[in-house]
Amino acid sequence: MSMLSVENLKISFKSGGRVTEAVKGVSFHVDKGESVAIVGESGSGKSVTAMSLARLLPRDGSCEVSGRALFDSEDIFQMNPKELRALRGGKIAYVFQEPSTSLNPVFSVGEQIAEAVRLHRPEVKDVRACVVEALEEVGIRRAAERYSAYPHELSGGMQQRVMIAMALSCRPRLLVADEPTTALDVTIQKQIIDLLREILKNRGMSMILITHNFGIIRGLCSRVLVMFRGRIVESGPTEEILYNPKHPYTKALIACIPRLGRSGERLVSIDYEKIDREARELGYAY
Amino acid sequence: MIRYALRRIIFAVPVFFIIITAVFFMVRFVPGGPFDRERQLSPETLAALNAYYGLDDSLPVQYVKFLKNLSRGDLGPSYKYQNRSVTELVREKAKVSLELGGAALAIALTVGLACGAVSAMGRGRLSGALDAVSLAGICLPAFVVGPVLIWIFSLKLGWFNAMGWREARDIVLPSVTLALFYAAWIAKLFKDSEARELAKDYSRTAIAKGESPLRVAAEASRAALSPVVSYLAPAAAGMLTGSFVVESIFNIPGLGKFFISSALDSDYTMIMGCVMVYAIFIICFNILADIALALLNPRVAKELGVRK
Ligand SMILES: Nc1ncnc2c1ncn2[C@@H]1O[C@H](COP(=O)(O)OP(=O)(O)OP(=O)(O)O)[C@@H](O)[C@H]1O
Ligand SMILES: [Mg+2]
Repeated sequence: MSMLSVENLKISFKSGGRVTEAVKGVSFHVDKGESVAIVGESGSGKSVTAMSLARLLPRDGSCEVSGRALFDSEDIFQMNPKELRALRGGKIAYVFQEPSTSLNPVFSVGEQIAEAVRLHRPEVKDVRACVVEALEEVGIRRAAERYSAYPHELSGGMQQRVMIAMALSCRPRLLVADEPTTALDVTIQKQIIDLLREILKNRGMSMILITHNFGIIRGLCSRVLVMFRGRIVESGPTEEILYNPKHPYTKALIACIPRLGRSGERLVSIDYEKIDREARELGYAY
Repeated sequence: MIRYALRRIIFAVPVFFIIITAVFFMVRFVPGGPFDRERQLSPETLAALNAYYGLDDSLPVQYVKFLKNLSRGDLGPSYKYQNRSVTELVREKAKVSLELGGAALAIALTVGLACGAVSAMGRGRLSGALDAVSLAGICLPAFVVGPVLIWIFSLKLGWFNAMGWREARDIVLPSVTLALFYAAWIAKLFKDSEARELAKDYSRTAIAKGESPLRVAAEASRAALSPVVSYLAPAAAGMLTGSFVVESIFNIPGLGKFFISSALDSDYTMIMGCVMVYAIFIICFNILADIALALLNPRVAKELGVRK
Protein backbone atom coordinates (compact mmCIF):
# COMPACT_ATOMS: atom_id res chain seq x y z
CA MET A 1 0.00 0.00 0.00
CA SER A 2 1.46 3.30 -1.07
CA MET A 3 1.61 6.23 1.30
CA LEU A 4 -0.17 8.43 -1.20
CA SER A 5 -2.26 7.09 -3.98
CA VAL A 6 -4.20 9.31 -6.35
CA GLU A 7 -6.92 7.73 -8.43
CA ASN A 8 -8.61 9.26 -11.43
CA LEU A 9 -8.11 12.84 -10.28
CA LYS A 10 -10.08 15.38 -12.30
CA ILE A 11 -9.96 19.11 -11.73
CA SER A 12 -11.98 21.68 -13.61
CA PHE A 13 -12.43 25.42 -13.28
CA LYS A 14 -15.62 27.31 -13.95
CA SER A 15 -15.38 30.94 -14.89
CA GLY A 16 -18.12 32.93 -16.55
CA GLY A 17 -20.04 29.89 -17.80
CA ARG A 18 -16.92 28.35 -19.35
CA VAL A 19 -15.49 25.19 -17.90
CA THR A 20 -11.77 24.42 -18.27
CA GLU A 21 -10.62 20.93 -17.55
CA ALA A 22 -7.18 21.41 -16.05
CA VAL A 23 -6.63 17.80 -15.01
CA LYS A 24 -8.41 15.07 -16.90
CA GLY A 25 -8.14 11.88 -14.89
CA VAL A 26 -4.72 11.38 -13.38
CA SER A 27 -3.59 8.43 -11.28
CA PHE A 28 -0.27 7.98 -9.54
CA HIS A 29 1.21 6.91 -6.24
CA VAL A 30 4.07 7.94 -4.01
CA ASP A 31 5.67 5.44 -1.66
CA LYS A 32 7.21 6.12 1.70
CA GLY A 33 10.67 7.66 1.30
CA GLU A 34 10.22 7.95 -2.42
CA SER A 35 10.80 11.07 -4.43
CA VAL A 36 8.71 11.59 -7.53
CA ALA A 37 9.02 14.32 -10.11
CA ILE A 38 6.14 15.76 -12.09
CA VAL A 39 7.43 17.23 -15.30
CA GLY A 40 5.54 19.08 -17.97
CA GLU A 41 5.20 22.38 -19.66
CA SER A 42 3.39 25.45 -18.41
CA GLY A 43 -0.35 24.93 -18.00
CA SER A 44 -0.20 21.15 -18.11
CA GLY A 45 -1.83 20.92 -14.68
CA LYS A 46 1.14 20.19 -12.42
CA SER A 47 0.44 22.85 -9.83
CA VAL A 48 -3.28 22.25 -9.55
CA THR A 49 -2.61 18.52 -9.12
CA ALA A 50 -0.20 19.30 -6.29
CA MET A 51 -2.51 21.86 -4.69
CA SER A 52 -5.44 19.48 -4.69
CA LEU A 53 -3.50 17.13 -2.38
CA ALA A 54 -4.06 19.49 0.55
CA ARG A 55 -7.24 21.02 -0.85
CA LEU A 56 -5.55 24.34 -1.50
CA LEU A 57 -7.58 25.08 -4.61
CA PRO A 58 -10.27 27.78 -4.44
CA ARG A 59 -13.23 26.67 -2.29
CA ASP A 60 -15.66 29.27 -3.65
CA GLY A 61 -17.32 26.90 -6.09
CA SER A 62 -15.19 27.94 -9.04
CA CYS A 63 -13.15 24.76 -8.86
CA GLU A 64 -14.38 21.20 -8.94
CA VAL A 65 -12.27 18.22 -7.89
CA SER A 66 -13.22 14.58 -8.29
CA GLY A 67 -11.50 11.27 -7.87
CA ARG A 68 -9.72 9.97 -4.79
CA ALA A 69 -6.49 10.86 -3.06
CA LEU A 70 -5.68 8.34 -0.36
CA PHE A 71 -3.08 9.31 2.18
CA ASP A 72 -2.44 6.39 4.52
CA SER A 73 -5.70 4.93 3.16
CA GLU A 74 -7.67 8.01 4.14
CA ASP A 75 -9.32 9.98 1.38
CA ILE A 76 -8.12 13.57 1.52
CA PHE A 77 -11.13 14.73 -0.47
CA GLN A 78 -13.50 13.41 2.21
CA MET A 79 -11.71 15.00 5.17
CA ASN A 80 -13.48 17.53 7.39
CA PRO A 81 -11.87 20.94 8.03
CA LYS A 82 -10.22 19.81 11.26
CA GLU A 83 -8.64 16.75 9.68
CA LEU A 84 -7.53 18.89 6.77
CA ARG A 85 -5.79 21.36 9.08
CA ALA A 86 -3.93 18.50 10.71
CA LEU A 87 -2.94 17.19 7.29
CA ARG A 88 -1.74 20.56 5.97
CA GLY A 89 1.73 21.22 7.22
CA GLY A 90 1.61 18.28 9.58
CA LYS A 91 1.61 15.47 7.03
CA ILE A 92 1.91 17.22 3.68
CA ALA A 93 4.02 20.38 3.57
CA TYR A 94 4.49 22.74 0.65
CA VAL A 95 7.30 24.80 -0.77
CA PHE A 96 6.15 27.21 -3.46
CA GLN A 97 7.77 28.74 -6.47
CA GLU A 98 7.95 32.37 -5.37
CA PRO A 99 9.62 32.65 -1.96
CA SER A 100 9.46 36.44 -1.89
CA THR A 101 5.66 36.53 -1.94
CA SER A 102 5.05 33.28 -0.11
CA LEU A 103 6.20 34.68 3.23
CA ASN A 104 4.13 37.20 5.16
CA PRO A 105 6.04 40.50 4.88
CA VAL A 106 5.01 41.86 8.27
CA PHE A 107 6.03 38.98 10.51
CA SER A 108 9.58 37.88 11.19
CA VAL A 109 10.59 34.63 9.52
CA GLY A 110 11.13 33.03 12.92
CA GLU A 111 7.60 33.83 14.04
CA GLN A 112 6.22 32.36 10.85
CA ILE A 113 8.01 29.08 11.39
CA ALA A 114 7.14 29.13 15.09
CA GLU A 115 3.45 29.31 14.18
CA ALA A 116 3.75 26.08 12.21
CA VAL A 117 5.54 24.36 15.10
CA ARG A 118 2.90 25.51 17.59
CA LEU A 119 0.15 24.20 15.34
CA HIS A 120 1.51 20.74 14.73
CA ARG A 121 3.88 19.98 17.55
CA PRO A 122 2.20 21.16 20.75
CA GLU A 123 4.60 18.98 22.74
CA VAL A 124 7.56 21.23 21.88
CA LYS A 125 8.36 23.31 24.95
CA ASP A 126 10.99 25.65 23.57
CA VAL A 127 9.51 26.66 20.23
CA ARG A 128 12.19 29.24 19.59
CA ALA A 129 15.01 26.75 19.95
CA CYS A 130 13.17 24.38 17.69
CA VAL A 131 12.84 27.08 15.03
CA VAL A 132 16.51 28.05 15.28
CA GLU A 133 17.41 24.40 14.84
CA ALA A 134 15.17 24.17 11.76
CA LEU A 135 16.86 27.24 10.30
CA GLU A 136 20.29 25.77 10.94
CA GLU A 137 19.28 22.55 9.28
CA VAL A 138 18.57 24.30 6.00
CA GLY A 139 22.01 25.92 6.08
CA ILE A 140 21.18 29.36 7.42
CA ARG A 141 24.11 30.70 9.36
CA ARG A 142 23.67 32.84 12.49
CA ALA A 143 20.19 31.32 12.72
CA ALA A 144 19.44 32.75 16.17
CA GLU A 145 19.94 36.25 14.76
CA ARG A 146 18.00 35.54 11.59
CA TYR A 147 15.02 34.43 13.65
CA SER A 148 13.85 38.03 13.93
CA ALA A 149 14.69 39.03 10.36
CA TYR A 150 11.82 40.05 8.12
CA PRO A 151 11.46 38.40 4.70
CA HIS A 152 12.53 41.53 2.80
CA GLU A 153 15.83 41.51 4.66
CA LEU A 154 16.76 38.16 3.15
CA SER A 155 17.87 37.19 -0.34
CA GLY A 156 15.67 35.00 -2.54
CA GLY A 157 17.76 31.92 -1.83
CA MET A 158 17.58 32.58 1.91
CA GLN A 159 13.83 33.09 1.70
CA GLN A 160 13.44 29.75 -0.04
CA ARG A 161 15.55 28.13 2.67
CA VAL A 162 13.19 29.65 5.22
CA MET A 163 10.24 28.19 3.32
CA ILE A 164 11.92 24.81 3.36
CA ALA A 165 12.69 25.12 7.06
CA MET A 166 9.05 25.99 7.69
CA ALA A 167 7.88 23.00 5.69
CA LEU A 168 10.28 20.66 7.50
CA SER A 169 9.71 22.07 10.98
CA CYS A 170 6.59 19.96 11.49
CA ARG A 171 8.11 16.70 10.33
CA PRO A 172 5.77 16.11 7.38
CA ARG A 173 5.65 12.74 5.68
CA LEU A 174 5.43 14.27 2.24
CA LEU A 175 7.04 17.44 0.92
CA VAL A 176 5.47 19.00 -2.16
CA ALA A 177 7.89 21.36 -3.84
CA ASP A 178 6.29 23.30 -6.69
CA GLU A 179 9.11 24.63 -8.84
CA PRO A 180 11.14 25.57 -5.77
CA THR A 181 14.05 26.89 -7.80
CA THR A 182 12.43 28.59 -10.77
CA ALA A 183 12.53 32.05 -9.19
CA LEU A 184 16.18 31.73 -8.17
CA ASP A 185 19.37 32.25 -10.13
CA VAL A 186 21.34 29.28 -11.34
CA THR A 187 24.00 28.96 -8.61
CA ILE A 188 21.36 29.28 -5.90
CA GLN A 189 19.19 26.72 -7.72
CA LYS A 190 21.92 24.16 -7.37
CA GLN A 191 22.35 24.88 -3.66
CA ILE A 192 18.63 24.46 -3.03
CA ILE A 193 18.52 21.19 -4.99
CA ASP A 194 21.53 19.89 -3.06
CA LEU A 195 19.83 20.89 0.17
CA LEU A 196 16.65 19.02 -0.78
CA ARG A 197 18.64 15.95 -1.72
CA GLU A 198 20.46 15.93 1.62
CA ILE A 199 17.26 16.42 3.59
CA LEU A 200 15.50 13.60 1.80
CA LYS A 201 18.42 11.31 2.53
CA ASN A 202 18.54 12.24 6.22
CA ARG A 203 14.83 12.21 6.89
CA GLY A 204 13.52 9.37 4.80
CA MET A 205 10.75 11.71 3.77
CA SER A 206 8.80 11.49 0.52
CA MET A 207 8.74 14.27 -2.01
CA ILE A 208 6.80 15.38 -5.04
CA LEU A 209 8.95 17.76 -7.03
CA ILE A 210 7.29 19.79 -9.74
CA THR A 211 9.41 21.26 -12.46
CA HIS A 212 9.51 21.82 -16.14
CA ASN A 213 13.19 21.27 -16.10
CA PHE A 214 14.32 17.67 -16.69
CA GLY A 215 17.86 18.74 -15.82
CA ILE A 216 17.37 19.07 -12.07
CA ILE A 217 15.67 15.78 -11.35
CA ARG A 218 18.58 13.45 -12.04
CA GLY A 219 19.93 12.10 -8.80
CA LEU A 220 17.07 13.71 -6.90
CA CYS A 221 13.96 11.85 -7.98
CA SER A 222 13.73 8.16 -8.60
CA ARG A 223 10.59 8.31 -10.65
CA VAL A 224 9.12 10.76 -13.14
CA LEU A 225 5.56 11.52 -14.21
CA VAL A 226 5.30 13.43 -17.46
CA MET A 227 2.19 15.59 -17.69
CA PHE A 228 0.81 16.95 -20.90
CA ARG A 229 -2.50 18.78 -21.27
CA GLY A 230 -3.95 17.54 -17.99
CA ARG A 231 -2.89 13.94 -18.38
CA ILE A 232 0.04 11.80 -17.33
CA VAL A 233 1.36 10.65 -20.70
CA GLU A 234 4.34 8.69 -19.46
CA SER A 235 5.83 7.59 -16.16
CA GLY A 236 8.69 5.45 -15.00
CA PRO A 237 12.15 5.43 -13.38
CA THR A 238 14.06 8.65 -14.07
CA GLU A 239 16.94 7.09 -15.97
CA GLU A 240 14.65 5.08 -18.16
CA ILE A 241 12.55 8.07 -19.12
CA LEU A 242 15.63 10.16 -19.75
CA TYR A 243 17.40 7.65 -21.97
CA ASN A 244 14.51 5.82 -23.49
CA PRO A 245 11.48 8.11 -23.71
CA LYS A 246 8.48 6.59 -25.39
CA HIS A 247 5.96 9.34 -25.76
CA PRO A 248 6.68 11.93 -28.47
CA TYR A 249 6.02 14.76 -26.02
CA THR A 250 8.58 13.38 -23.56
CA LYS A 251 11.10 13.12 -26.39
CA ALA A 252 10.46 16.72 -27.32
CA LEU A 253 10.87 17.81 -23.67
CA ILE A 254 14.16 15.94 -23.34
CA ALA A 255 15.39 17.47 -26.56
CA CYS A 256 14.89 20.85 -24.87
CA ILE A 257 17.34 20.18 -22.04
CA PRO A 258 20.27 22.49 -22.54
CA ARG A 259 23.51 20.50 -22.45
CA LEU A 260 26.52 21.76 -20.64
CA GLY A 261 29.55 22.63 -22.74
CA ARG A 262 27.51 23.55 -25.78
CA SER A 263 28.06 27.01 -27.10
CA GLY A 264 24.88 28.86 -26.45
CA GLU A 265 21.62 27.31 -25.34
CA ARG A 266 19.76 25.43 -27.96
CA LEU A 267 16.15 26.42 -27.70
CA VAL A 268 14.01 23.86 -29.40
CA SER A 269 10.46 24.88 -29.92
CA ILE A 270 7.96 22.11 -29.48
CA ASP A 271 6.02 21.12 -32.59
CA TYR A 272 2.65 20.12 -31.19
CA GLU A 273 1.13 19.01 -34.48
CA LYS A 274 3.94 16.57 -34.96
CA ILE A 275 3.55 15.30 -31.38
CA ASP A 276 -0.18 14.82 -31.83
CA ARG A 277 0.30 12.99 -35.09
CA GLU A 278 3.01 10.71 -33.72
CA ALA A 279 1.07 10.05 -30.53
CA ARG A 280 -1.97 8.98 -32.52
CA GLU A 281 0.16 6.70 -34.66
CA LEU A 282 1.61 5.12 -31.53
CA GLY A 283 -1.88 4.54 -30.20
CA TYR A 284 -1.97 7.06 -27.31
CA ALA A 285 -5.54 8.12 -26.65
CA TYR A 286 -6.50 11.70 -25.96
CA MET B 1 10.23 54.55 18.67
CA ILE B 2 10.18 57.25 21.35
CA ARG B 3 12.95 59.10 19.56
CA TYR B 4 10.97 58.97 16.36
CA ALA B 5 7.87 60.34 18.09
CA LEU B 6 9.89 63.17 19.69
CA ARG B 7 11.42 64.06 16.35
CA ARG B 8 8.02 64.21 14.75
CA ILE B 9 6.64 66.40 17.53
CA ILE B 10 9.58 68.80 17.25
CA PHE B 11 9.03 69.08 13.50
CA ALA B 12 5.32 69.63 14.06
CA VAL B 13 5.87 72.82 16.08
CA PRO B 14 6.92 75.03 13.12
CA VAL B 15 4.13 73.53 11.03
CA PHE B 16 1.67 74.54 13.71
CA PHE B 17 3.00 78.09 13.72
CA ILE B 18 2.86 78.36 9.97
CA ILE B 19 -0.78 77.27 10.04
CA ILE B 20 -1.86 79.73 12.70
CA THR B 21 0.14 82.57 11.13
CA ALA B 22 -1.45 81.95 7.75
CA VAL B 23 -4.90 81.84 9.27
CA PHE B 24 -4.23 84.90 11.39
CA PHE B 25 -3.55 87.03 8.33
CA MET B 26 -6.05 85.36 6.06
CA VAL B 27 -9.07 86.07 8.24
CA ARG B 28 -8.09 89.71 8.48
CA PHE B 29 -7.82 90.09 4.72
CA VAL B 30 -11.34 88.80 4.24
CA PRO B 31 -13.67 91.77 3.76
CA GLY B 32 -15.82 92.62 6.75
CA GLY B 33 -14.98 93.04 10.42
CA PRO B 34 -16.28 91.52 13.63
CA PHE B 35 -18.75 94.31 14.32
CA ASP B 36 -20.25 94.77 10.86
CA ARG B 37 -23.28 92.73 11.68
CA GLU B 38 -24.20 94.74 14.78
CA ARG B 39 -26.92 97.10 13.83
CA GLN B 40 -26.60 100.87 13.90
CA LEU B 41 -23.19 101.30 15.38
CA SER B 42 -22.16 104.90 15.25
CA PRO B 43 -18.70 105.49 13.83
CA GLU B 44 -17.54 106.62 17.28
CA THR B 45 -18.71 103.39 18.94
CA LEU B 46 -17.11 101.28 16.22
CA ALA B 47 -13.83 103.15 16.65
CA ALA B 48 -14.04 102.69 20.39
CA LEU B 49 -14.72 98.96 20.01
CA ASN B 50 -11.83 98.55 17.58
CA ALA B 51 -9.58 100.42 19.94
CA TYR B 52 -10.74 98.37 22.91
CA TYR B 53 -9.94 95.09 21.17
CA GLY B 54 -6.73 96.44 19.65
CA LEU B 55 -8.04 96.12 16.12
CA ASP B 56 -6.83 99.60 15.17
CA ASP B 57 -3.20 98.55 15.56
CA SER B 58 -1.24 97.63 12.45
CA LEU B 59 -1.34 93.93 11.55
CA PRO B 60 2.23 93.12 12.63
CA VAL B 61 1.58 94.71 15.99
CA GLN B 62 -1.61 92.69 16.36
CA TYR B 63 0.28 89.55 15.43
CA VAL B 64 3.00 90.12 17.99
CA LYS B 65 0.38 90.79 20.66
CA PHE B 66 -1.43 87.63 19.65
CA LEU B 67 1.73 85.54 19.99
CA LYS B 68 2.53 87.12 23.35
CA ASN B 69 -0.92 86.29 24.68
CA LEU B 70 -0.77 82.84 23.18
CA SER B 71 2.42 82.06 25.07
CA ARG B 72 0.42 82.64 28.26
CA GLY B 73 -2.36 80.38 26.97
CA ASP B 74 -4.63 83.36 26.48
CA LEU B 75 -6.44 83.55 23.17
CA GLY B 76 -8.08 86.87 23.97
CA PRO B 77 -11.70 87.84 24.38
CA SER B 78 -14.43 86.83 21.98
CA TYR B 79 -15.81 89.71 19.95
CA LYS B 80 -19.17 88.10 19.64
CA TYR B 81 -19.78 86.68 23.10
CA GLN B 82 -19.03 89.54 25.40
CA ASN B 83 -17.26 88.87 28.66
CA ARG B 84 -16.19 85.38 27.72
CA SER B 85 -12.63 84.43 26.86
CA VAL B 86 -12.00 82.34 23.78
CA THR B 87 -9.99 79.79 25.74
CA GLU B 88 -12.93 79.19 28.03
CA LEU B 89 -15.48 79.01 25.21
CA VAL B 90 -13.39 76.71 23.03
CA ARG B 91 -12.72 74.41 25.96
CA GLU B 92 -16.41 74.20 26.74
CA LYS B 93 -17.45 73.47 23.14
CA ALA B 94 -14.54 71.15 22.46
CA LYS B 95 -15.53 69.01 25.43
CA VAL B 96 -18.95 68.43 23.87
CA SER B 97 -17.49 67.65 20.45
CA LEU B 98 -14.88 65.33 21.96
CA GLU B 99 -17.55 63.31 23.75
CA LEU B 100 -19.72 63.07 20.69
CA GLY B 101 -16.77 62.42 18.36
CA GLY B 102 -15.21 59.88 20.73
CA ALA B 103 -18.42 57.88 20.83
CA ALA B 104 -18.75 58.13 17.06
CA LEU B 105 -15.12 57.07 16.56
CA ALA B 106 -15.63 54.02 18.77
CA ILE B 107 -18.78 53.04 16.88
CA ALA B 108 -17.21 53.64 13.47
CA LEU B 109 -14.14 51.56 14.31
CA THR B 110 -15.93 48.56 15.81
CA VAL B 111 -18.74 48.44 13.28
CA GLY B 112 -16.51 49.26 10.32
CA LEU B 113 -13.78 46.74 11.11
CA ALA B 114 -16.24 44.01 12.05
CA CYS B 115 -18.29 44.44 8.87
CA GLY B 116 -15.17 44.68 6.73
CA ALA B 117 -13.71 41.51 8.22
CA VAL B 118 -16.91 39.51 7.87
CA SER B 119 -17.38 40.71 4.34
CA ALA B 120 -13.80 39.86 3.35
CA MET B 121 -13.90 36.37 4.88
CA GLY B 122 -17.46 35.48 3.99
CA ARG B 123 -18.43 34.81 0.47
CA GLY B 124 -21.45 35.08 -1.77
CA ARG B 125 -24.62 36.58 -0.43
CA LEU B 126 -23.52 37.75 3.02
CA SER B 127 -20.51 39.52 1.61
CA GLY B 128 -22.58 41.12 -1.14
CA ALA B 129 -25.23 42.32 1.30
CA LEU B 130 -22.63 43.91 3.58
CA ASP B 131 -21.00 45.63 0.61
CA ALA B 132 -24.35 47.08 -0.41
CA VAL B 133 -25.00 48.33 3.12
CA SER B 134 -21.61 49.98 3.36
CA LEU B 135 -22.05 51.60 -0.03
CA ALA B 136 -25.39 52.98 1.15
CA GLY B 137 -23.71 54.24 4.32
CA ILE B 138 -21.13 56.08 2.27
CA CYS B 139 -23.74 57.65 0.00
CA LEU B 140 -26.32 58.66 2.62
CA PRO B 141 -25.62 62.17 3.87
CA ALA B 142 -25.94 62.94 7.59
CA PHE B 143 -28.71 65.45 6.93
CA VAL B 144 -30.83 62.55 5.69
CA VAL B 145 -29.77 59.92 8.23
CA GLY B 146 -30.16 62.26 11.23
CA PRO B 147 -33.80 63.24 10.60
CA VAL B 148 -34.71 59.65 9.74
CA LEU B 149 -33.23 58.42 13.03
CA ILE B 150 -35.05 61.18 14.90
CA TRP B 151 -38.29 60.27 13.20
CA ILE B 152 -37.98 56.56 14.06
CA PHE B 153 -36.36 56.57 17.48
CA SER B 154 -37.71 59.71 19.08
CA LEU B 155 -40.96 60.57 17.35
CA LYS B 156 -42.27 57.04 16.75
CA LEU B 157 -40.63 54.98 19.46
CA GLY B 158 -39.95 57.76 21.93
CA TRP B 159 -36.66 56.27 23.11
CA PHE B 160 -34.60 59.42 22.80
CA ASN B 161 -35.01 63.18 22.81
CA ALA B 162 -35.30 64.56 19.32
CA MET B 163 -32.53 67.05 19.97
CA GLY B 164 -30.54 68.82 22.62
CA TRP B 165 -27.62 67.95 24.84
CA ARG B 166 -28.87 67.55 28.38
CA GLU B 167 -29.06 63.87 29.29
CA ALA B 168 -26.56 61.05 28.86
CA ARG B 169 -28.67 59.29 26.23
CA ASP B 170 -28.67 62.42 24.08
CA ILE B 171 -25.34 61.23 22.71
CA VAL B 172 -26.78 58.13 21.03
CA LEU B 173 -28.55 59.39 17.91
CA PRO B 174 -26.01 62.07 16.94
CA SER B 175 -23.02 59.77 17.44
CA VAL B 176 -24.66 57.07 15.33
CA THR B 177 -25.46 59.65 12.65
CA LEU B 178 -21.90 60.94 12.71
CA ALA B 179 -20.38 57.44 12.78
CA LEU B 180 -22.36 55.96 9.91
CA PHE B 181 -20.36 57.47 7.06
CA TYR B 182 -17.01 56.72 8.68
CA ALA B 183 -18.05 53.18 9.63
CA ALA B 184 -19.08 52.53 6.05
CA TRP B 185 -15.80 53.90 4.68
CA ILE B 186 -13.74 51.90 7.15
CA ALA B 187 -15.72 48.75 6.27
CA LYS B 188 -15.11 49.26 2.58
CA LEU B 189 -11.43 50.12 2.96
CA PHE B 190 -10.79 47.21 5.28
CA LYS B 191 -12.78 44.73 3.21
CA ASP B 192 -10.98 45.63 0.01
CA SER B 193 -7.51 45.50 1.51
CA GLU B 194 -8.21 42.36 3.55
CA ALA B 195 -9.54 40.59 0.47
CA ARG B 196 -6.40 41.68 -1.42
CA GLU B 197 -4.15 40.29 1.32
CA LEU B 198 -6.11 37.03 1.55
CA ALA B 199 -5.58 36.50 -2.17
CA LYS B 200 -1.81 36.84 -1.81
CA ASP B 201 0.62 33.95 -1.88
CA TYR B 202 1.50 34.29 1.79
CA SER B 203 -2.10 33.62 2.81
CA ARG B 204 -1.96 30.43 0.78
CA THR B 205 1.21 29.54 2.67
CA ALA B 206 -0.64 30.11 5.93
CA ILE B 207 -3.45 27.78 4.84
CA ALA B 208 -0.93 25.19 3.65
CA LYS B 209 0.62 25.37 7.12
CA GLY B 210 -2.66 24.19 8.60
CA GLU B 211 -3.85 27.47 10.12
CA SER B 212 -7.55 28.04 10.81
CA PRO B 213 -9.37 30.51 8.56
CA LEU B 214 -9.64 32.95 11.44
CA ARG B 215 -5.92 32.82 12.10
CA VAL B 216 -5.15 33.29 8.41
CA ALA B 217 -7.42 36.33 8.33
CA ALA B 218 -5.84 37.74 11.48
CA GLU B 219 -2.35 37.46 10.03
CA ALA B 220 -3.47 39.04 6.76
CA SER B 221 -5.17 41.86 8.63
CA ARG B 222 -1.89 43.19 9.94
CA ALA B 223 -0.99 44.32 6.44
CA ALA B 224 -4.61 45.04 5.57
CA LEU B 225 -5.01 47.55 8.39
CA SER B 226 -2.54 50.02 6.92
CA PRO B 227 -4.96 51.82 4.57
CA VAL B 228 -7.47 52.03 7.41
CA VAL B 229 -4.92 53.61 9.72
CA SER B 230 -3.94 56.17 7.07
CA TYR B 231 -7.59 57.05 6.60
CA LEU B 232 -8.19 57.26 10.34
CA ALA B 233 -5.83 60.18 10.92
CA PRO B 234 -7.95 62.83 9.17
CA ALA B 235 -11.18 60.95 9.91
CA ALA B 236 -10.65 60.86 13.66
CA ALA B 237 -9.60 64.51 13.71
CA GLY B 238 -12.75 65.36 11.75
CA MET B 239 -15.01 63.42 14.08
CA LEU B 240 -13.49 64.69 17.32
CA THR B 241 -13.48 68.34 16.34
CA GLY B 242 -17.17 68.30 15.64
CA SER B 243 -19.42 68.20 12.64
CA PHE B 244 -21.41 71.26 11.63
CA VAL B 245 -24.20 69.21 10.06
CA VAL B 246 -24.72 66.76 12.92
CA GLU B 247 -24.48 69.45 15.58
CA SER B 248 -27.01 71.54 13.71
CA ILE B 249 -29.51 68.71 13.21
CA PHE B 250 -29.45 67.71 16.86
CA ASN B 251 -28.90 71.23 18.19
CA ILE B 252 -25.72 70.36 20.04
CA PRO B 253 -23.47 73.10 21.40
CA GLY B 254 -20.28 71.70 19.87
CA LEU B 255 -17.19 73.07 18.22
CA GLY B 256 -18.20 72.29 14.64
CA LYS B 257 -21.19 74.61 14.58
CA PHE B 258 -19.22 77.17 16.52
CA PHE B 259 -16.36 77.19 14.04
CA ILE B 260 -18.67 78.00 11.13
CA SER B 261 -20.54 80.72 12.98
CA SER B 262 -17.31 82.33 14.18
CA ALA B 263 -16.07 82.44 10.61
CA LEU B 264 -19.32 84.03 9.44
CA ASP B 265 -19.10 86.55 12.29
CA SER B 266 -15.44 87.38 11.57
CA ASP B 267 -14.86 86.60 15.22
CA TYR B 268 -11.07 86.63 14.70
CA THR B 269 -9.96 85.38 18.09
CA MET B 270 -12.57 82.65 18.07
CA ILE B 271 -11.55 81.51 14.59
CA MET B 272 -7.97 81.27 15.79
CA GLY B 273 -9.05 79.17 18.76
CA CYS B 274 -10.99 76.75 16.59
CA VAL B 275 -8.25 76.51 13.98
CA MET B 276 -5.70 75.71 16.65
CA VAL B 277 -7.79 72.88 18.05
CA TYR B 278 -8.26 71.49 14.58
CA ALA B 279 -4.57 71.85 13.66
CA ILE B 280 -3.44 70.17 16.86
CA PHE B 281 -5.75 67.23 16.26
CA ILE B 282 -4.70 66.81 12.64
CA ILE B 283 -1.01 66.99 13.47
CA CYS B 284 -1.24 64.63 16.44
CA PHE B 285 -3.30 62.06 14.60
CA ASN B 286 -0.94 62.07 11.67
CA ILE B 287 1.97 61.38 13.99
CA LEU B 288 0.00 58.64 15.73
CA ALA B 289 -0.98 57.13 12.38
CA ASP B 290 2.63 57.05 11.19
CA ILE B 291 3.70 55.38 14.42
CA ALA B 292 0.91 52.83 14.04
CA LEU B 293 1.91 52.18 10.43
CA ALA B 294 5.49 51.60 11.50
CA LEU B 295 4.34 49.19 14.21
CA LEU B 296 2.21 47.30 11.70
CA ASN B 297 4.78 47.09 8.94
CA PRO B 298 8.51 46.66 9.52
CA ARG B 299 9.22 47.94 6.02
CA VAL B 300 7.51 51.23 6.72
CA ALA B 301 9.40 51.41 10.00
CA LYS B 302 12.64 51.11 8.09
CA GLU B 303 11.66 53.84 5.63
CA LEU B 304 10.67 56.19 8.42
CA GLY B 305 13.86 55.44 10.32
CA VAL B 306 12.04 54.04 13.34
CA ARG B 307 14.07 51.77 15.52
CA LYS B 308 12.44 49.62 18.14
N1 LIG C 1 -7.53 29.49 -10.03
C1 LIG C 1 -7.71 29.07 -11.30
N2 LIG C 1 -8.81 29.45 -11.99
C2 LIG C 1 -8.99 29.06 -13.28
N3 LIG C 1 -8.12 28.30 -13.95
C3 LIG C 1 -7.01 27.89 -13.33
C4 LIG C 1 -6.74 28.27 -11.98
N4 LIG C 1 -5.56 27.73 -11.62
C5 LIG C 1 -5.11 27.05 -12.71
N5 LIG C 1 -5.98 27.14 -13.73
C6 LIG C 1 -5.85 26.51 -15.05
O1 LIG C 1 -5.44 25.19 -14.88
C7 LIG C 1 -4.49 24.82 -15.86
C8 LIG C 1 -3.31 24.16 -15.21
O2 LIG C 1 -2.62 25.11 -14.43
P1 LIG C 1 -1.37 24.76 -13.53
O3 LIG C 1 -1.08 25.95 -12.72
O4 LIG C 1 -1.58 23.50 -12.84
O5 LIG C 1 -0.22 24.57 -14.62
P2 LIG C 1 1.29 24.19 -14.35
O6 LIG C 1 1.51 22.89 -15.01
O7 LIG C 1 1.60 24.26 -12.90
O8 LIG C 1 2.05 25.32 -15.15
P3 LIG C 1 3.33 26.17 -14.72
O9 LIG C 1 4.49 25.40 -15.17
O10 LIG C 1 3.17 27.43 -15.50
O11 LIG C 1 3.27 26.39 -13.27
C9 LIG C 1 -4.11 26.07 -16.61
O12 LIG C 1 -4.68 26.00 -17.90
C10 LIG C 1 -4.75 27.18 -15.84
O13 LIG C 1 -5.28 28.14 -16.73
MG1 LIG D 1 2.72 25.63 -11.70
